[in-house]
Amino acid sequence: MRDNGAVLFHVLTVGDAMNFRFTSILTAVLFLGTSGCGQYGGGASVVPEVSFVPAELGAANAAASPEAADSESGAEASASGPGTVSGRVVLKDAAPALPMLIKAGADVKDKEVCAAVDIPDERLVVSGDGGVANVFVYLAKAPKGGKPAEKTDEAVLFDQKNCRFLPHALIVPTGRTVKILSDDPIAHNTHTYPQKNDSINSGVAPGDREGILNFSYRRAEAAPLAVSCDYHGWMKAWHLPVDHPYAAVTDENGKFSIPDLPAGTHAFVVWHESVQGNFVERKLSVTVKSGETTDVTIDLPASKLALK
Amino acid sequence: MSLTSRTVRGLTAAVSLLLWQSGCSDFESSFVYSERTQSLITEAQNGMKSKSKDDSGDEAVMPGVKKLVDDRFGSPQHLNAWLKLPIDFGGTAGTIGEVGENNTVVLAFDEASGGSPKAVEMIQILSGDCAGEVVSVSAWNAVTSTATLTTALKAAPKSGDSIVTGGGEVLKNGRSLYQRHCSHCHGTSGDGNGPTAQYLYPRPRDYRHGVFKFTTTNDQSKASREDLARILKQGIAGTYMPSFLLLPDSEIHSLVEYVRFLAMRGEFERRLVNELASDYSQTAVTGRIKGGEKRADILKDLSEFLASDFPDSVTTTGDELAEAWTAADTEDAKVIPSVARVPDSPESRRRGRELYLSKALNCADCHGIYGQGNGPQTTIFEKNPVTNELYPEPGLHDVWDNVNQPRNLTYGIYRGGRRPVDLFGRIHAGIKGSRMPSFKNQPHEDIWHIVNYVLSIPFEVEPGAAAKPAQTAAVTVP
Repeated sequence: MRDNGAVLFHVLTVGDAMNFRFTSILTAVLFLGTSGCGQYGGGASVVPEVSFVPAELGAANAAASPEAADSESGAEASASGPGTVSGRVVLKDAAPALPMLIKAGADVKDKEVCAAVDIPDERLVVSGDGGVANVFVYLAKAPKGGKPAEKTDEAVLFDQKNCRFLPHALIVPTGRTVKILSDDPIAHNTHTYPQKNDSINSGVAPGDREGILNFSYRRAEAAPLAVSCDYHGWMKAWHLPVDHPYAAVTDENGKFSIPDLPAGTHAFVVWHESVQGNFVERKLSVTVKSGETTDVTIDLPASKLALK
Repeated sequence: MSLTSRTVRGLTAAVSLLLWQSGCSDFESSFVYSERTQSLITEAQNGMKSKSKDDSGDEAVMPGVKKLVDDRFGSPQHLNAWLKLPIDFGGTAGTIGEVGENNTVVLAFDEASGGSPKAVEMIQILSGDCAGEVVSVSAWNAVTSTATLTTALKAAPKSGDSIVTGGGEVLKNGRSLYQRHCSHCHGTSGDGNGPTAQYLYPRPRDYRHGVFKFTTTNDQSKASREDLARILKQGIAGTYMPSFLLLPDSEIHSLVEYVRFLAMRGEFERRLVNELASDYSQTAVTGRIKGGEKRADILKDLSEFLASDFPDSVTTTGDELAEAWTAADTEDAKVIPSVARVPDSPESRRRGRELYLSKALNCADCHGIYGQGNGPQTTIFEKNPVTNELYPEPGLHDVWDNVNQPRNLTYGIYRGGRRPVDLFGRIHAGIKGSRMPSFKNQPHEDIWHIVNYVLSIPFEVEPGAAAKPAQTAAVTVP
C-alpha cells in the first residue's frame, strides 16, 4: 500500500498535461483495486465466527414457565361430571343462492364422471331454515380434565365420487390413519396444504375402495387445512386435525353436538370457509353444567360472508 | 488566483489518498426475515415483556419469532451452531474427563469424531454449568490428553461435560464458499433472491421451505446430503444452476452443510410463524379488532400464549426438524424400485404410452398428449389453495408461487437427472414443492414402462409414433 502511495505521489507531482490524464486513470484504478472494500458485504473474504448453542436451548424456559391461568378451559374439578354442548349455526339473513358447481352434462374435464350428476357448490350449504352446514366447532386445545382422544386403529375414510370429496369437512384425530378412497374410474390426486404437518401430494388409484394411499396427521392444527385435487381444480375439502375429541362439524341442518365436556367454561372456535377471515368466533365462551346440555345458537350475519 | 495544474494534481492526490485509506465503512451482513414473519404483528415478531421476573430480577422477555431464530442460527458473520440440528459443524467433539489442579483438565475425544487431535488451541464447553464458554488452551499434552486452560472459568467444569474443539470450521468454510459461489443467485439468507435472481428463469431455489425438488428420497422425506451433493456436482440441466464438479469434495461437503443450515433456519422460522399466524398476523388482528375485540385483549392473549404454549411448540418444532433431516439420510427414505428396470423395447414403450394417456394416470393432462408440456392444465387459472387468491398467470403453481411449467419431454432434458432410476424416482415420489404428484402406489413395472416411453419421446420420428404398431416392409416379393 505504501509503495502505491509513493508512486502515486511521485507521478502526480511530476509531469505535464498528458501525464495528468494518465495519472487520473491510474488513480482511479489504484483506488478501486486497493481500497479498503475487502470487507464490503461480508463477502467471501470475511471469516465468520461460530458459537455453539446447546440443543436444549429454550426447553428450560418451557419447563419453568407457569401454566397459563386458563380459566377458560374447564377449571372446575371434573369430579362434578361432564356435560354436553349442542347447538346450531344459523344464517340470519337470506342465503345467497349458489348455482350448481357443475350441472349434469356440463362440458368439463372428464365429463362422463365429473358431470354425471349435479354437483352442488359446497362453499356455502344452507338448509331451508337457515342452518349452515360444514361449520367447524372445536376447542382450540385439550381442556383440563377432559378425556383423551379415542385410541383406535380404525382408519378415518376420505372418499371421492363424481369428482367430489366426501365428506367436505372432516375432523381427523392426530395419529389416526386417513385412508383415501376413490369411487371414480379416472385419475385423481389428493394434495393437502397443512401448516404444522407435512403435506401429501399423491395420485389415487381409480376405484380404490381399500385406501392403499394413506397418511396421518402428527400435530393438531389451529384451523382447518385445504385439500384439493390437481387434476380437477374445483374439488375442495377441509380437514381439521385435533388432539382431543371436542370437535364437531355441523350437519346439513347446521346442528352439532359435543358431549363429555368437563364442567366449566370453555372457549370454542367456530370456523367456516366462506366467512370473512374464516373465523365466525375465535373464542365463543360457553358454560357447561355437569349432567346437562347447554344449547347454543351461533348467528352468522350475511354481511360476514365472503365467497371466494 | 488560478489553480496551477501542479496544485490540482496535488489536491487530487491528497483527496484520493484520503478516500482510499478510509475505504468503505464496515458492513455487517444480516439474514433477512421472511415476508411471512414480517406479516405478523410486531409483538409477535419481537416478543413481549413478561410479567414475571427472571433470576436477575429484571423483567423477563418472552422472545418473539425473530429472537428465537437469531438465538439458534445467529447472523451471517456470527453464526450460531445449534447442536440439536443434524449438521456437521466441524470440529472434534469430546468430553471432560478428570478435572485436575492448576486449571488442567483431561479431555476424552471420541474415535468417531477423529480421536485426540494433535493440537488444541481452544475448547468450547457445551454442557453443564459453564455451557457456552470458550476457553483458550495454553498447553496441550497429546500423550496424556491434558489441557491447561488459560483463564479460570466462572463455574467449575465437571467430568462428563461435553466440549468441542476447533468447532465450526465446516460452517465457516461453508459460509465463505457460499458467498463466493452461491449467494449472488440464492441470496445471503438462501431466499433465492440474490442480485442476479431477477434475471433468471426458472428462479433460483428459495431454501426456506426446507423443500428441494430433485431428490432420490420418497415423497414424505427431505433431500438427503447425497442429493444436494449431486445437484452441486452435476448442476441442473436446463436451468442456470451450474455444475461445481471442479470443487474438491471437502468444499462440496462444507457447502452442503451450509445450505442445509440455511434451509433449516428458514424452515424453523416458517414453522414458528405458522404457530402464530392464524391468530396474530396483521390481517388476523385487523379482522379481530373489526369483529369487536380490543387490541389490548389480543395482546394479553398473545402474552399468555408466548408464556405457556409457545415454548413447547418451539421445542417440538426443533425436534421435528432434527428428526426429518436426520431421517432423510437413511436408507428407508430412499426410493428403491422393487423390480429391475424392464428392458427398453417397443412393447414396453407402447405400454408406457398407454399408461401415459390412461384415464388412471392422465399424464397428458399436464404434459400434453405428445409430451410437449402443453396439457390443458397449463391454461387454467387457479387460486392459491391456502389463501384463495387468484394467481395472475395461467397454469398450476408450485409452493414458491412460481408458475409450475410441466416438463416438455421432447427435449430430453431432465432436471433431476437423466438416469432411468432418476426418472423412476420422479414418477414414484413426484417432485416436492411442485404439482407433480407422487404415483407411489403404481406397480413398479408400470412405472418402468412409463420411464421407457418417456426416454423414447425425444427420438420419436413424429409425436405419438410410439403408439403406432411397428411398420413392416412394404415391399412384397413377387
